[in-house]
Order: sequence, then structure tokens, then C-alpha cells
Amino acid sequence: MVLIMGKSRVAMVGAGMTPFGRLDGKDLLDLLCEASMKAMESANAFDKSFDAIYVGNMAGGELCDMTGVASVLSDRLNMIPAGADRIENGPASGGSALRAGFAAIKGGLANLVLVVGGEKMTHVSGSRVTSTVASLTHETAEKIYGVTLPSFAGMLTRLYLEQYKYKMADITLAAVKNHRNGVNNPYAHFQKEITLEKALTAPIIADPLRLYDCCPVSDGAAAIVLTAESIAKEFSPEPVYITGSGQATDLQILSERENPLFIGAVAQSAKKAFDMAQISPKDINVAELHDAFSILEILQSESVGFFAPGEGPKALARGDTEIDGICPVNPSGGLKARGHPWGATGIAQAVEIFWQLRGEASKRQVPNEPKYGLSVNFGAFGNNVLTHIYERGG
Amino acid sequence: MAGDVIRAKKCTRCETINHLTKMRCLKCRSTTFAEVTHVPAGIVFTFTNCTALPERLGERKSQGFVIVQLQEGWKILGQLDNPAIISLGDRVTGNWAVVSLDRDGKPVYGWIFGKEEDKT
Repeated sequence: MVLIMGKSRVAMVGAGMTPFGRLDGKDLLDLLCEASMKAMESANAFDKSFDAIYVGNMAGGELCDMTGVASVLSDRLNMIPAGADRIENGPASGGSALRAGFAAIKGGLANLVLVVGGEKMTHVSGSRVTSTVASLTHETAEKIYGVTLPSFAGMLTRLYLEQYKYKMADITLAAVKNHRNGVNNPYAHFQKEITLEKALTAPIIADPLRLYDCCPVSDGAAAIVLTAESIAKEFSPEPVYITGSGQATDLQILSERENPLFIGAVAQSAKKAFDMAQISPKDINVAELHDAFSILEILQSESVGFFAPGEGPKALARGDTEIDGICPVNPSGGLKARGHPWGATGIAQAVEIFWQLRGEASKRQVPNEPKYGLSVNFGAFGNNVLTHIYERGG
Repeated sequence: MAGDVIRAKKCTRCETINHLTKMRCLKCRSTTFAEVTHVPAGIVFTFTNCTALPERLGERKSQGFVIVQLQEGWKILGQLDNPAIISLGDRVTGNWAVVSLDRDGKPVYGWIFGKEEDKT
């Protein structure tokens, strides 16, 4: 096959995912295969030769005793001789895999790419999962103390409440909204509403954050088929284009960041993506943000440019980020309700935007035919972040 | 960071304080540093009491963590003793003590901060 180089846009032509949750009886490869098959079916691509596979996975080695998953996936799906790589960027492994696929198409290294992300987490103890994610922290300045990502989120929440004079209820509303959205997502780990009162009296996880302010531990996988714009309609009459891709890092040690409430890597990655797409935050019709903790949806909504610093909770309370609001955020239920299998999350965000921009999101569909979507996938504790921007085709 | 002072690296070009592991200054990217020390005392920048803990903290049910703004302005993380009596802006002092166990079960030392006693 002749590879297509140049200014061709990158098209998403198929998407699929497994349900997220506790998926007993399925291992990591089962999940990756299931999502991949659904995406290939969605793209009518079963009889096509793929050039590359990018697998987003954070902890297959640590939690599943499984390495080289990309090579094994190529064998199981018989995608031989496609190139195959596992991409690891902590909880943003999926976003990084998506960017790798985007770059491969954009750079002319591939015409047809499968991007899949997944994680198997629920079969190990909570402390094992916590230890694995805590390994993202700085070895001598943070990790030795036993600090975890919930601890960081708790500390930022306390700082935010003090600096902007909010109450915890103003932040927890994000979790209540996302649980409400999750009710209408058949793939979500949690498909039930919670009340604000229940959330505000739940057990403490990292004060002032309580149980419902924190995402669950989930199994799951999600997949996307990418191709070049010039051949996209061979696969789908309604492709969705990735028009912006940005990535940025920030200081690893949280205490070294001058203003930890402004997530610099979110702002920088978003700016790069917006510059590439040649649109601005006000153009976005639907967004998936990385709400591993309720405070993170607020902080990201500000750092990405939807709202001014300190204004996120007011926008949330006004309903701006509801599905029928002016800036819908996490119609899927987000990490809070859909779940957060680390390597899958960045891809699942893209899958949700794909469905939303094609008008296929059923009861959680954002109204008025959204044209532009955005996703933020937050690696480590905001020190390696991916932002992608999407545009409806047709 | 062992001992009675907190050690760090000060950039000789822009004077920014860097963690000891930094190879280039976090602000100006210079590679020349001088070692500096800080008194383990300052004010509480933010803190939490966490119940989701990793294996290295063993059977503990909860653990306080704090980011302290040291007297010289640099901020560091440490464990927090008795978070129930702490508020933002409180003065705290640090003690060098066992904070966790490594994978082999050996003790790991670090800073544990507690509220400074009222000296009035």
C-alpha cells in the first residue's frame, strides 16, 4: 500500500469499547481484543490490513504479570505484520496511544491504525492498586512518605476551597452531575444517581474529599480506528476528524509548582491543540475531562480555558456543564461514573466524543448537533497531559 | 535530606531552589548549583488526612500529609502528625523519623511535621 503523506487530516472511522466495571473472568488481553473487534466492526475494517497498533496500557506488567501486550494483540487479532507498540504514560497512556496513532497517520507512516487502551485492575487488592499508582510520584520527595494521588487531590481541594471561598458541596456537584450522566451510559461502571447529601456524608478518602469525589477502580478497554482523510469514506460515511493534538509536561514534585491550582500541563497541551485546530475554547460543544477526583474537573475546566480561574464551581452550579448546558462536560459520566481503567480512559474519552459528534450517544446525546469536541487525559498528577480536539465530518 | 536540616540545591544563576534530584534548574535550566540547607520549620500551605494508602504504610488506617512552606520560601511535602488539630497557615516543625517501609521491609526516613507548640 502506498502511504499517504502531507496535509491529510486524521479521521476516526470506527470506535468500540467494553463495559467498564468489575469484569470477572476476562483478562487484560480479552478486554483489549473485545474493544478492538468492536472498533474494527464499527469501521467495516475486518478485511483490511492495518499498518500499526498502539496499545495504551499503564500496568499490565505490575498488575497482570503481562508484558509485550501489543505483540500478543497483533497475534490474537491476526493483524500481522502490522507494527505494534505498547504506550505507557500512567493514567494518560490511552491519550498518548491516540497521539501516537494520530502522528503515524499525519506523518505518513501508516494509513490504517488501531488504537486501543485497556487495564485489568479489580483482581488485585486496593492497596496494590494504590501502590502502583503511587509509583508515579517522586521517589524521594513524595513516594517515601506513602503519599497517593487521592492525597494530592485532597490537598488541592483544601487549597482551592480556601483560596476561592467555596464549600465542599460546590465541588462535589461535579460528581453528582457525572453520576447522573452515567445513568444513561450502558458502558458506565456506575449507572445510578447519587444525591449531594449522600456524597457529602460518605466516608472520607483524603479530606475534604469523600468516597463519591473519587473515581472507582475499574476493568475495561476502548478502541478507535484511525485513517487518513483521503480514504476515510471507504470505511465510514461519517468520519470524525482529530484536528488538534497537544501534549505537555510539568514539574513532577507537586510542591515545586508555583500555583498548583492552575494545571500548567493542561493549559499548555490545550493551547497546542487549539492552535493546531485553529479554534478556541468557546467553540467546543462537548468535552470529556479527566475527573479522577471531583476537584480535577473543576481545575481542568479552568486550565483548559472554559472558565476563568475560580469560576468553575459557579459554572457547574449554573448548569453550564450539564448535557444541555452551554459547555457540556463528561456526558459519559466521566471517570467518576464511567470508571477509570487507566490505559483505557484516554481512548474511552475519544470514543465518547466520536459517538457524540455522530449523534449516536442515545439518551446522553448533547443537543443541537455538536460540531467540536475536546478531551483531556491527565497523566500522573497533571505532569504529563494530552488534549485532543475533534471535528464532526460530513 | 537526612539529619536536622533539609538539603536542597540553589541555582547559582537565578537563585531558584531546586530539589536535590534536579540536573538542570527548574526555572533557568542552568546546570550549576550550590547546596543549601533549610530549617525544618514553616507554615502549612495545604494538608490532608488520607485513608487510601499504599502497601509501604502497612496497616495504618489513615495518614496525614502536608505541604509546608519553609521559612526561606521553598515548599516541601512531608507526613503530618495529628491533622485533626491543623489549619492552613499554622506553624509546624519537622522531625526526621521513620515514615514508611521499603519493599524489603527496611525503614525509610523522612520528615514528619507537627504543630509548633505555643511558646507564649
